[in-house]
Amino acid sequence: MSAMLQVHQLVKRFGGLVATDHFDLSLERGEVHALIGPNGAGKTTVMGQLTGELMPDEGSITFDGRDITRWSTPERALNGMARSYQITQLLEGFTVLENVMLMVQAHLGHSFHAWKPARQQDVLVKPALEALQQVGLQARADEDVMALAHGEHRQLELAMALAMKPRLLLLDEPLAGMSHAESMQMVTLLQSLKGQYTMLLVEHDMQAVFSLADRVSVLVYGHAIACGTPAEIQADDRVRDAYLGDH
Amino acid sequence: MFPESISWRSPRPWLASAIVLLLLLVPLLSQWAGSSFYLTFATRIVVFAIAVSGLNLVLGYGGLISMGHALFVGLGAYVVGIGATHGLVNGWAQLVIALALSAVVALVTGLVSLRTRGIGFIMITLAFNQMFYFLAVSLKQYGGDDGLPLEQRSSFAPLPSLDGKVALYYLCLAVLFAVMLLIWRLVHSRFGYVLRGFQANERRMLAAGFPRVRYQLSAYVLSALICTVAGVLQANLTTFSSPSYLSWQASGEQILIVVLGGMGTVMGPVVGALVLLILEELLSGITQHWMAILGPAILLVALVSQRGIWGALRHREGRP
Amino acid sequence: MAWSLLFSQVLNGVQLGMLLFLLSAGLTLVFGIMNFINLSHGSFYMLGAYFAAATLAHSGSFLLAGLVGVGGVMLLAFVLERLALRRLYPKGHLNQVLATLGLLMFFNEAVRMVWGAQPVFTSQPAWLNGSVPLFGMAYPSYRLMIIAAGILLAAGIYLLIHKTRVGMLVRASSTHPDTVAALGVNARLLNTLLFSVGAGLAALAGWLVGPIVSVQSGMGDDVLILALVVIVIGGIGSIRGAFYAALLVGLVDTMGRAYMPQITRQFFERSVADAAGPALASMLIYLFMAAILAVRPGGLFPTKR
Repeated sequence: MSAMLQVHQLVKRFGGLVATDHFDLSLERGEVHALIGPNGAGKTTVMGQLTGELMPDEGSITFDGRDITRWSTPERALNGMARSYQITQLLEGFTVLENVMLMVQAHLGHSFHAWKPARQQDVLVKPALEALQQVGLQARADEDVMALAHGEHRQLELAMALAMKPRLLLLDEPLAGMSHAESMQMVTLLQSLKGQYTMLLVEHDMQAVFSLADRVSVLVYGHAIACGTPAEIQADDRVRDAYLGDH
Repeated sequence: MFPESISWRSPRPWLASAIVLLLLLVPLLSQWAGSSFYLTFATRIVVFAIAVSGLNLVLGYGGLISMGHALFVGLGAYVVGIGATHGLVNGWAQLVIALALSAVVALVTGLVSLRTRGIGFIMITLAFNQMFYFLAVSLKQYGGDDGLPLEQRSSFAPLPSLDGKVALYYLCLAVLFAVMLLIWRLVHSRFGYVLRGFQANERRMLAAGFPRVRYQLSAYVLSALICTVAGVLQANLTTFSSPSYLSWQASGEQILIVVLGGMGTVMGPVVGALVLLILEELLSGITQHWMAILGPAILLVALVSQRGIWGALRHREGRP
Repeated sequence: MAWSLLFSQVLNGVQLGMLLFLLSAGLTLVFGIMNFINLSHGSFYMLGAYFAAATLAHSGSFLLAGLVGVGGVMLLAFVLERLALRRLYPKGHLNQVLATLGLLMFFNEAVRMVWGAQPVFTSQPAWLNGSVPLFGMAYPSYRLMIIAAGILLAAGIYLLIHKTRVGMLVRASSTHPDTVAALGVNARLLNTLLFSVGAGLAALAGWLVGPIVSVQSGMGDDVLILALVVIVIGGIGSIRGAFYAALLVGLVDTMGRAYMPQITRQFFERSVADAAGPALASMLIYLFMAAILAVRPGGLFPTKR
């Protein structure tokens, strides 16, 4: 198996604070890798550096053999990386379908087409509907995106990431704020995607992590203190110490 | 021809049609009223609506607060004025020169401005506006502070002479309708989606894979060109090119019209221009200190609304 | 080169800088802390000049004129902020631009209604007439007083911001407004006071500048633009930035206007130079700002939020 994503000794400082402290990560093709850690451990900062929204101070990120450390966010998106956000980042003022259509559109060359209505273009609509179908939202396609419930927003986040036909899915707390029933639905959905996509999953919900992940990395104060299968991690004393009372 | 389905059960298409019809009939109505004042006044409104439609593209649909679009109106007006002074009265030639010049200025100022965000963008567009304002004032041989009278109106042969008030009006109206249709189709196209997407959530758009600057810059240049066309028509209407067309107060007035009428709607600029100019006319008939009334009225509008008149109408129907 | 002329231009530049600082200090804090862009700030400057001029005409006391000018404007600003402007803080820059443009329009017309459209004449106090011998020339005492006043006020503001509890709250509010509010500090009162003090400083500038400029409707409009340029160059929210930027802008603008015609004559033929010189001088400040923003989009002293 070849490593799809290789993160090597990543360091990020904010003034005097070291948010990412020589972080290493290796993601194999097709695996679901979970990143867990106590609050404030720096998971979002790591995510930001992986997607290009933050630039690391030291270290490197290699994706499919290419050094993408300094690549911009759009460049990474166009080369197979898709992210879903912890706090939903939706396009207000558009419908559910249009939100997904824009993700499809980004990967269809340039958008300097100013005359034909986008809504009537099958090449945009069909893949968008398919992505919505995958997450079970196709019935809500023509509704204003703000009319959806929170759980449906999270589903839409996933649909938008999937519509980009990525090779790597970066999922930032996809279950955040969901009810138990909604979480179960989402976990089932993610399980159905296993094998088709390589996934890096940042999550607090331990049940979900242990049922989905092939391997787990534990992040404490910006550093990976352990990496292994869910069973190995559960048995690890260092992890227990770090998580005292956390779950 | 229309990029979206029109529901005739809602009041908006009826209202819009009524406004279009009214605008088409103005010369007739003006004749009935016995004075050409109404025709000239309506032409002013139409020209404003064109300029503001241009601004609406970057402000209403793109979310970029530009205090510098009066610059492009002034540019169009001065090309006509200076051209006529040197014997160039072919409107088509003036138009081409004005558009080419505007495109270059918009490209350069846009590239610099788009490096900044928020207040920085407002300030830098304002700065560029001021620069060209002072440039216009310094052109002593072209009137300087006093402005430049137009020697002769532009000739857009084979179209009838613009010395005829009716001909000028219908030319302006045709341009307005063309611009409105262009913008209507544009905002529903792929390009429009990208532009509006960046206004809605820039972070998401970047994460999708869209580079930002090229799309916002294109919209900026296009909006500048529309304002330039308005400037060309403005000079022909007033037979005058004045630095006041480039003042920052003029830019502010454009912003007011867009917000009042309804940002991000095609009818907004027309409605805004109609309401503001008619209001100004009515108020100035009551008192010479009408600005003391209009000022607080604007304050009130800003305190109360964000959507503007047409935007509020849309909102009532549940359209985003 | 005429050295005494150069020195007097430098002093003029510093004097303009001090006035710009008085105007920008309030503007930058209000922007940095309440995220509120106030295009009617120049109106406070104008009203300060008018109130002071009217008081001087009636009482003959320059200092009383200052008191009324500054106090009157501060009261006005206090009421305005409480009644209307604070509602605009969450509404975004566009609404703020519009609202304050409306206010600007109102104030310009209001002073015309009360005092007429002709410029109002007001005079310097007798004890500041005359000049001080400096660098081989006689520099007007009044202008020197403005420079001294500006430096004193800048020092005072610095002490207030960095050495008092109120100042600490102001500094904390500029980077962490929610935290300060959570600490139980009456953030709204702090904001209102801040706004009033900013307006008061602008009015002070108006009072001081009355005798040497034309006091008329709209006098604050172009000065406002300069103040906006200053705060953008200095870094929004930074008093220190406003001080240095104000000095820079004052110097660049004054020296530019004084020497640009000569400079352009070196490069262009006379008729072009005579037209281009003043135009370039006016544009200089904006070119300067664009250059700074190109390199440092956050200004000289960017405040991190």
